[in-house]
Amino acid sequence: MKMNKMLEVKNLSVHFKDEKSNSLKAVDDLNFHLNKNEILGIVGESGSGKTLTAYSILGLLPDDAKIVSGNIIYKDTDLLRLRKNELIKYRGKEISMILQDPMISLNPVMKAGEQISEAIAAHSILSEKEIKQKSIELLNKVGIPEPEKRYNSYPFSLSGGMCQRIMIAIAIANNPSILIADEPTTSLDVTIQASILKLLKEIKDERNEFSMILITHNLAIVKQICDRVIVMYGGKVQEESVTRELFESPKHPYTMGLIESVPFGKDKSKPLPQIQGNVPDLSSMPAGCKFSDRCPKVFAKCKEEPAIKEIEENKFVRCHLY
Amino acid sequence: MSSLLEIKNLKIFYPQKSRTIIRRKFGKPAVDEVSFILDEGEVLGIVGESGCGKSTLAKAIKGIIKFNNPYVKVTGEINFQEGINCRKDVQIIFQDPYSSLNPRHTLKTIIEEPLLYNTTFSKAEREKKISEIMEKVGLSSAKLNSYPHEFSGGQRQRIGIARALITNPKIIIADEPVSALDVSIQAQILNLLNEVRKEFNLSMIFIAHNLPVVEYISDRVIIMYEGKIVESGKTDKVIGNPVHKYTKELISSVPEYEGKKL
Amino acid sequence: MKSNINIENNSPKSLFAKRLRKFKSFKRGYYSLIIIISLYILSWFLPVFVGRNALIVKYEGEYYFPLFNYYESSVFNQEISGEANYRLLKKQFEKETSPGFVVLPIIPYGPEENLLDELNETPPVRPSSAHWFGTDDRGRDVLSRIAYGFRISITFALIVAIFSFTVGLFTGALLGYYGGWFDIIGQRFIELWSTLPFLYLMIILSSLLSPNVFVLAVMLTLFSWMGITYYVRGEFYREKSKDYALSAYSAGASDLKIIFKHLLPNSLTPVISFAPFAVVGNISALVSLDFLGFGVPPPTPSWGQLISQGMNNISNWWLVLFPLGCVFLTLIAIVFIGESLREAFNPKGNENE
Repeated sequence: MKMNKMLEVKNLSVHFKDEKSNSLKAVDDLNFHLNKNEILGIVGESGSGKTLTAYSILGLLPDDAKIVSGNIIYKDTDLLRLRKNELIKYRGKEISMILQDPMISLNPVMKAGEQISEAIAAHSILSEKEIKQKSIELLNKVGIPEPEKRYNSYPFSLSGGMCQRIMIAIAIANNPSILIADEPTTSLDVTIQASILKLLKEIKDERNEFSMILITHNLAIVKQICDRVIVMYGGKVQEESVTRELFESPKHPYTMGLIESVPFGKDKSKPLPQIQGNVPDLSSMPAGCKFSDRCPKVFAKCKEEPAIKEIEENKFVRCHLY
Repeated sequence: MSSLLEIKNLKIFYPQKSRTIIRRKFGKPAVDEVSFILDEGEVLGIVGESGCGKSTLAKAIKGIIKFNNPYVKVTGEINFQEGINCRKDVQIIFQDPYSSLNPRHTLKTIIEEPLLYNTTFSKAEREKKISEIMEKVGLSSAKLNSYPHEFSGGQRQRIGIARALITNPKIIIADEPVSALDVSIQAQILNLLNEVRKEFNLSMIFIAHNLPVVEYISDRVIIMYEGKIVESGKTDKVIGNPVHKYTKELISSVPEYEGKKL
Repeated sequence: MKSNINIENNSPKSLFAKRLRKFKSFKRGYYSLIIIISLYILSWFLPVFVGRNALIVKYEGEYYFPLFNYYESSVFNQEISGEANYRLLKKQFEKETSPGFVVLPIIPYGPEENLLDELNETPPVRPSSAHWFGTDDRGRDVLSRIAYGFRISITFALIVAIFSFTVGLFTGALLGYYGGWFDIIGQRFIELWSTLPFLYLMIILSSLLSPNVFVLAVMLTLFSWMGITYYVRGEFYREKSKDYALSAYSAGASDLKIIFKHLLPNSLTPVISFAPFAVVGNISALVSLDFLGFGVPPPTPSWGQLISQGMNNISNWWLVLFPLGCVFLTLIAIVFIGESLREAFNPKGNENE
């Protein structure tokens, strides 16, 4: 079992400082792991801490956020204990990342192909010619037509979907073991989204010892390509389960609410089931269960913080109902 | 004529960037030969990808397309039913609840504004109307003197809806009203729109790129691609039995419809 | 429908209130602002502290208030022509031990008052207990001239700033709002206007008009309104493209309403953070013109004129040190204000949430 884990995040806490320098717990004592050869979905709304978690893994946190405690274990190494110059060896080589908006993630004054070559050059000792050859192969692999020609294109002349493909090429350039995709399709059109998801799935399927973390707010995407899902709310894991089970029998009231409130296939004559209230600010999270102020099943005990429990095999829920 | 709005052969051209001023030249139309009608009490969904001209169409119907680009060329006809005053009876709900509210105005100023320009209400009447509408959209009247930045995205969209409803319009144009919102908030706003639509007997043009959302809320749907209407009809018919190639591709791309036979 | 609001609310805070609070946290700028404002307010009551007229005189059983009234010297039986000299009167009382008194300001010398009769040496006279900052080469008290010069400099700079910002704001707003041809022609005109050689034209105009402070301010405004138009134009251009402007237009707001009610308040950030630097520039401009002798007409007290005296009498250190020191301190205080304002209004800081 232990051997099967690619990455393990233990007790990770990330805090923000607000204007009055109170600490805001953006990620609060987070635990999860990533298995070999799986796509793990992290689902959550804005402010759930999902993006910060990803940034913590790669040491890319913004200046005002601080990792207060925790370990991120990758191949027996704690990434959080590494010095900056040591972490660089992992970033892009072992673990790489795709960001939400491809149009602004690429350098606008550098040729698309050169940005891939640059990523390869950072972690290899190949000759310039070999690198270029490899870049063109990668362009071909991520489904860009006429890769030789596109190598010399600038990002502004490419569409959003093309740019995201180039981002993916950069991310897989050094054969990483882990790919973290942060809302990779949110800024893209639906038809493009479908093809990018298909590409990600292909990349995962043809590799060995390769796992992916897909961060998204879109449940349908999770359902489509993830093997296992973590639902985050208020900086904590609320539910963790195999994808199919999560959708067939969600346990946490928040997960239920999320799945229910999707308009797809609902009776038009009835109002949509909805979660009451708004996602609270970090500064006004309720004490105890973070979801207690919006939960339809709230009861007295919810004033206390629930612990996460394994209620079935590989199914974890943080709720007093179980 | 029972239809509230009839659009005939509408074409909208943006001037090409490089010669906006000196010698105006127009490229491919952003909206191309679009014709449709909107009936009383119905919700018409308009679906398409970014850049297909759906937002341009919305602005043209409301007559505000020339605000940001005075050199836009519009041809064709937009006819409202007799008695409809476009400024008062047609209101628009904007996509981005963050940029569509003036950050320096209080809630009261924001919601009151349309009344100032379109009615002759006294101050007391306006205040009464504001508190009525606030209650309707689920905002507490105690917040009247708050600024937009004190609200979350969903609440801001409620403010936007209140602002649109306050003149008792007959037609609401909702331009991607839920696409900037969190999943758990989306359902709230859709329910609210449905509720007020029935209560005020509104007709609505609902623009979105999210097919399941449009499917849920609209009676009829128009699919747009590159400025043209490629398919239209009753919502369940279009989605259940698409004819055009693009519609088929669109439906098969939506993860929710995965496994659906076409 | 249930109310869904659960935001922690401590009294509604406008963006401006938030920024003001942030500004206050920059101590250097905040204290500079307090000091400059207090000094400027005090400077409008300057005759109470610095000036040739006594505050109260009791002479032969009667009270006189020379601060508010003009008295001929004959009223006090003085054998000089023109206005009474209260310093002499005071000495007179001390000698004669007659009933009566004179209350003089702390610095009992007027800024334009020639003290040649009272000085025992040829001016410029070095600092002493009588003249803390010494006198200039015409026997006028330097401290008194600096104090009155402060009032004139700041007033001048504020007037020019207000004038040029009004013109610049309005022009920039119209250019940014209407765009198109109007914008293009307007911008070219501003560019042409900006190429006019400011200093030469000022010198020519000054020598033709021999202006007072107000005319000088109008003249300087003619050449300093352009800078702000670029910022305001850009700001308007950007704000107009935001949905709230479109939303106002859609609600039926007129152009004027959109400009003044919606866009202007959202476009003031560069104006506010630019203002202190404009004041600095205007003070420097006045000092330069005075230094060259084309500013306010003599004998109006002016910093530039004092500095030019210092340049001509470089060995008389007090004529160099004190005026230059005052200009320096004033300008640096205003720069501190500007720096803090800019920081407080930096949109990166707290625009959203």
